[in-house]
Amino acid sequence: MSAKKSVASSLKNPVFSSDDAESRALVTDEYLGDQSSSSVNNDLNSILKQITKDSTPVSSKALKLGFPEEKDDECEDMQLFLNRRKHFFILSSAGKPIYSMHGSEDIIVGYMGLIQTIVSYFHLEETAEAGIGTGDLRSFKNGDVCFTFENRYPIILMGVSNMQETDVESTQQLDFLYNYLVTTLSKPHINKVFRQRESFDFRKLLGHADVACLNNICADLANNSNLGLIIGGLPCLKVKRHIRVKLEQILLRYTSPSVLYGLLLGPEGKLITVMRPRRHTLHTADLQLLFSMIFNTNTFKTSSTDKPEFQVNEEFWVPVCLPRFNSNGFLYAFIQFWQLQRDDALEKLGTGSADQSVNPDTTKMGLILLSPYKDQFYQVRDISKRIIDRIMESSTLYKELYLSMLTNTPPEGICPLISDFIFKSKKHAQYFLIKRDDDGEHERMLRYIYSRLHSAVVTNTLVSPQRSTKCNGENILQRKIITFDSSNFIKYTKWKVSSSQLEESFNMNARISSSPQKNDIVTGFVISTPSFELYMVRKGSDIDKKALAQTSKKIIKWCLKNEGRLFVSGGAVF
Amino acid sequence: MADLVTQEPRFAQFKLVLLGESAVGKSSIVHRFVTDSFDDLRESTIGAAFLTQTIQLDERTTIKFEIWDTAGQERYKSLAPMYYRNANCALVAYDITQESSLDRAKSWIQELQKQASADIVVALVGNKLDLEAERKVSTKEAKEYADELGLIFKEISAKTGEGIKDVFHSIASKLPVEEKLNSATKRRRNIDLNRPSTNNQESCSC
Repeated sequence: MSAKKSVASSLKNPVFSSDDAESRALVTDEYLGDQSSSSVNNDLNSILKQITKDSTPVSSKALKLGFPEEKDDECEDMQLFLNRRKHFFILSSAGKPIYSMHGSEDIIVGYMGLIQTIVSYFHLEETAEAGIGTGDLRSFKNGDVCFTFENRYPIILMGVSNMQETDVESTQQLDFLYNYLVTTLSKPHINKVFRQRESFDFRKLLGHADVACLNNICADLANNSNLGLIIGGLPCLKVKRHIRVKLEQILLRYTSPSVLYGLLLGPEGKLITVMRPRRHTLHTADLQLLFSMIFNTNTFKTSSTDKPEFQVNEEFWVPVCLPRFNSNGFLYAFIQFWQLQRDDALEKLGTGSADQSVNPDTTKMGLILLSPYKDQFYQVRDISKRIIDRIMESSTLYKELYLSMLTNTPPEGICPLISDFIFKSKKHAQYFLIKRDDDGEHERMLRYIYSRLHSAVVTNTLVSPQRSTKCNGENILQRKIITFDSSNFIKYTKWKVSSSQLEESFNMNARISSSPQKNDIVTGFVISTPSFELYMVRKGSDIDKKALAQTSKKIIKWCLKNEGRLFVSGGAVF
Repeated sequence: MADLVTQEPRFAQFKLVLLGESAVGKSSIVHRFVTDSFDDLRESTIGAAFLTQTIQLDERTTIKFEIWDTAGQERYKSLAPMYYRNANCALVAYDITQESSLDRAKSWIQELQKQASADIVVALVGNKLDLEAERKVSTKEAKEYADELGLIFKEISAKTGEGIKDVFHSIASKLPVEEKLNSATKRRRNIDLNRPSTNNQESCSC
């Protein structure tokens, strides 16, 4: 019951106060399923029954879609600065600025001092000494604006959000930013520079690429554009099971002491398979950091054409510190991309020549080999060459990989009613995504809906009575895990999308009962169980709960049946 | 003329390392050289990038450069020796609009003279010639320094492409091609036939 109330109340908060009027949601009709008692046995029918039983919406509230993209700036206008929906500040414990998403130097310097004062006022010595992190101020709310703090001596982070996120999500975001610094510099390096001089100007250590990457991560968080960060998982390329096995066999043929981990990636960082030692797994958060570095910057891309695309004639050798693996040392990442869409190879395949209209990056593969040794580039490069050669010379592999990249649709009849969905397997910490439309507006809407739905899942988890929410570093980690272990949860929300400003003062309840135009209603649906999460979005005419439930059931069954195709389970283990 | 035709084609491979302060345009220089393109949105290099490019030195001599494009930031400095240790040649770049970048270039050159192989061919290169109006480093100053140490010197623009080919040709012509060929033939006698091929097919087809 408390869960119900909390989600409802969180949705009552007005959303972004942006002045964008391109599209507006007029109605939220949301329903929350009761906590199911049969949380473990995964009985779909009993979960889905919840949604059809009760038809009274818990709350109805106007929501706004289509907010403008928010990017980093060095704006000197204080009013603009204060109107941003998202802020991230990083500073040293001495109060020196390290990074701010928005604002000119003049503006941010004052804020940095203020943040430092607030944090140290609440700071409890003993917790810091114990290395637990903040035992003090974690977050506070002022109206709709949420302020979140992370005190990771010698670095302090603060987030300001007007985006209705939960404090858990905001804290995770700060954690991610902090870990990005660790990824590029490693913890001992960070500690060392501040030990030598407390007032050290940390910005000297960061290069353009680091700042660009921080900017991009912040923009992703402000615009919900990194789905993996929102729902907590890695995207995966759908590939036939035997193809994955074959790829794993190839990887295993070239194991060497020079290589600790291997990652084979499809477009947009979708995992194809991994290679790892038996005793080690790869941590999702570490990979998200690594992928942020690779996919979020232009460092590995060329933009001599219109759009930046990955370099194929270059190999990279990049020191990275993966905090969850070992925050004290570096691994060396060999990174290479190559194009599958090559005329000679396509000819062999008999599929004709390359389609020039396709974005070249959609048919590129990437190989990342992580080595513990900084001076073994040539050895690792040699291994990479052989792996790539083996993949390219097998016409079966080539063909299947190429086709998997170009086609990403579920079989007919699985989800005729909805346009987009994400199925996340909690066991694998991976997700599979179906996207029907690449249009920018649609994409923004999707991101927004997915993040709202995910917030609802997180909120539900947090207010469950068995959760302890003690505030220290260790418990935060635990909370993340608990999030994935919540009982069953269903929620759906409807938005009314319109492009006319006139509809602002429209009566919401009347609107939903009047005959809606086509494409006018967007329905978001999430179902969360201990083993998976399904997020669905329907754009178009209204849809009833029963149909939603039926569709979700079909998708879930299909995804579970095709698990081996959708997700990387063990990888190539040596 | 007849002589040239009958002579066998020669092929030699050399390692080149690019050094210089952050943001002087090292990656842009390499990209102009390798793909003849310029990238306005380029962000700084993280770690290092490895590229190859082949040039025709004369009718029968082909030279393949294996290029290490290193990150200019201070924090990658400790990795630099790994890249220049076995380098046959180095291109040390500065930005003609940034005085400090020439100082940084000089200290790289000093480090190379101390740490790199004795016969390394070094070129000092002033980039961003397209920004002549903002010039802070005079040609004279840099050239005198280079001449004194017997370095190749050129002012170039990665943006317009001016002088790029020249620099690499000048470097190539100073490289000990004969020596390299001799040592390569010696090595070839000991080749292991059972070793799997390491031919890089993607380097030529992309």
